[in-house]
Amino acid sequence: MKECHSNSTDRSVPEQIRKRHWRALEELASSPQFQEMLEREFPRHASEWNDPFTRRKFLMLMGASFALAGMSGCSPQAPIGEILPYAKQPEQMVPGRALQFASAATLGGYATGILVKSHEGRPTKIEGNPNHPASLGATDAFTQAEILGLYDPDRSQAITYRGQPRSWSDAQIEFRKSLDALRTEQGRGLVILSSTITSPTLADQLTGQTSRFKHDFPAARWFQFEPAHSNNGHEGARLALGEPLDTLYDFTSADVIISLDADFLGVGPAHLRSARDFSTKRRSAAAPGGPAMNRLYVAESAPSVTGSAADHRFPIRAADVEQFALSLASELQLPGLSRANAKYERLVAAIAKDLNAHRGASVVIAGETQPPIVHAIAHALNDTLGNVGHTVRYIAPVEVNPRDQIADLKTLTEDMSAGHVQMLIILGGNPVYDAPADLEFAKQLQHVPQRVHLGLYQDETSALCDWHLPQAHFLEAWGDARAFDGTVSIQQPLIAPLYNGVSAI
Amino acid sequence: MPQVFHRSFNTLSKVSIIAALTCLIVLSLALYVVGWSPYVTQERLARVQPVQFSHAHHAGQLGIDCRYCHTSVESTPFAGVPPTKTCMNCHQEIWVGASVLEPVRASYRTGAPIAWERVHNLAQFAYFDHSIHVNKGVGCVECHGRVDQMPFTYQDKPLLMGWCLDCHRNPKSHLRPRNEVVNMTWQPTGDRAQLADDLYKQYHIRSTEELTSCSTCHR
Repeated sequence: MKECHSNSTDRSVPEQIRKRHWRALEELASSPQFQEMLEREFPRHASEWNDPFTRRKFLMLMGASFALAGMSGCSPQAPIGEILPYAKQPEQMVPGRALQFASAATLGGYATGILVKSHEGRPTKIEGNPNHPASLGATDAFTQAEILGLYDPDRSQAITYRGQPRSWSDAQIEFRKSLDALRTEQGRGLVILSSTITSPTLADQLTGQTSRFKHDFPAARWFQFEPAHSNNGHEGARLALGEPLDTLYDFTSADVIISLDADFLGVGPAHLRSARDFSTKRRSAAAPGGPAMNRLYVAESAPSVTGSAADHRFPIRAADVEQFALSLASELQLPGLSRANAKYERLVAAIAKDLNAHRGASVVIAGETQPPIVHAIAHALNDTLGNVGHTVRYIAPVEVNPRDQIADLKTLTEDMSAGHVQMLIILGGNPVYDAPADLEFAKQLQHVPQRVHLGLYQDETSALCDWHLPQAHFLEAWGDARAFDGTVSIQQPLIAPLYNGVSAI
Repeated sequence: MPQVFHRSFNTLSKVSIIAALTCLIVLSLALYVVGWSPYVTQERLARVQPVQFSHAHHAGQLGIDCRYCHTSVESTPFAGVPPTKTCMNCHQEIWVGASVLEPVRASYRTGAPIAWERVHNLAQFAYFDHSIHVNKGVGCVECHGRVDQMPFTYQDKPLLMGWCLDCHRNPKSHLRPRNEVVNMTWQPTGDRAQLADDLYKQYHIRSTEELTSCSTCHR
């Protein structure tokens, strides 16, 4: 012990002999700064507590005051809150009892009827409207989530010009100036880019006979862009029927259903209704003495809700669905078709037999992701099988202006880069984020001198637009929209706009 | 080896054990008594209200039915504190200029609510529904006391869980005919026990097991 001790401290032992261990490169270099740092407890600029009021005492007092603060909760005589009754209670409003309001939520432009529960003037829950044909009392996850969207604290809360807050009157003055200038040129260079519109009111404002927009800006243009939109159905109908019609299916009376990559029970504007109708048919078949059970064949490229409900599910590549459909068509002796693809021969023979046995009570449905030709084949098959008029109906398109939106957006970006667009008004949506990357929408947008964005959020699009206006949530403003079968639904506000938002209407 | 402890420690240790036990018992008794005392339950504490509204005058002397103001008591969980409009139904005719009513008139003019101090406060984790009690023949007076004699409204009962359970365990003696629910002075005539049995059957009061099940009140 003694040796060891002396070994480390004995000055008589020469420095070179003593074994020196260093723990850092700075120590080896032994600069004066490092020596100073070793000696100081705190870095040089750290404030030192020279007060007689020590850290220990401080903690002691803080602890005591926290403990005593807890004691204040023990005082039972404190006020227990207020009751604030209405000054004038609105009719039908009973505190503590919820009211239900019928409205409509839209997804991709298409309406679903909803009932919104409201507690003391605040919407709290969305459920389906049993009387609405697109809902029959059901909702999907998106509609359920709209209530969270309403109260989302991330919603944009102010009118901004290049990120700086502005007043509504500032915006109005600015827009009036720009629009007056555009009016003298018949509105040439004015473009409105909206999401898919089915609203009769908006349609009238944009394209109607008495539309002020149409009257004042005859040369202005209106484009639509929806990130998850497909025009294949309309193109298919144009190929088969000559018109871009919408197709309605009656699954309550369809005995045999062939889905060509169509997830009609899981997605799409009609899926709630389709799922309800489909399961109604299944359930009624289960009852004793009920009708025969429907049979569902699904040829699909990815697992889906519809595929999981199928009696016969054929996983095939999305690109092969066309071949499958053609094989089925030739098996059913559709004119002008070559023999069936050998790959599916046995399969389609069985399906064709089933279909032939249920003429007029079957449905062939093509998926939105499939090309127009598959839709056209489905239309032709439904016609051949005598389904049209029974389980399949055609109606005029629900969309105000059904178009190939990607092609339109391409035209728009080309015009923007050529400098033909003076003022672009974006009504809802976030095209900078979700437009196809090949179009370079964000880059071309910057060639537009005046850019206005109306949206629920300060997003990528509003960052690239001069003006941003907060949009009113559909639970905050009047509106209307049409359901998949053309039913016009009114949207009624349940609450005054939380953030002074304005609606597109 | 000498003894570590003195002889007297024998006595001392015995006494201290008994003393400690006694202290524990006395303390817990004290806690129990304090916990049920009006100091903690806030019984009989008249709170300062923005308007010196007297139930004794309106419900007692004038005989206004409870349900004239507390309109939703028979149909919803919340009995309802009347909107200012209800006050003004009468007070636009009588006591029109009374200074004591100025907050009421101000509320009616501006639409701002009168901020009444809450008197009865149940814990948030206890579910209470006025309508079921009223419709099963539990009188207002059972829980709220003689409101018709309260110049200032106060809480008459402890509103503790034990007090709730007293009645939920033995509801019969607290029942009265439905049309006497708001009567503050109702007394049963005739055979009390027979009437209680009849009402218990007539109003389909649930069994004690159901009434005292945790999830009946703690949902």
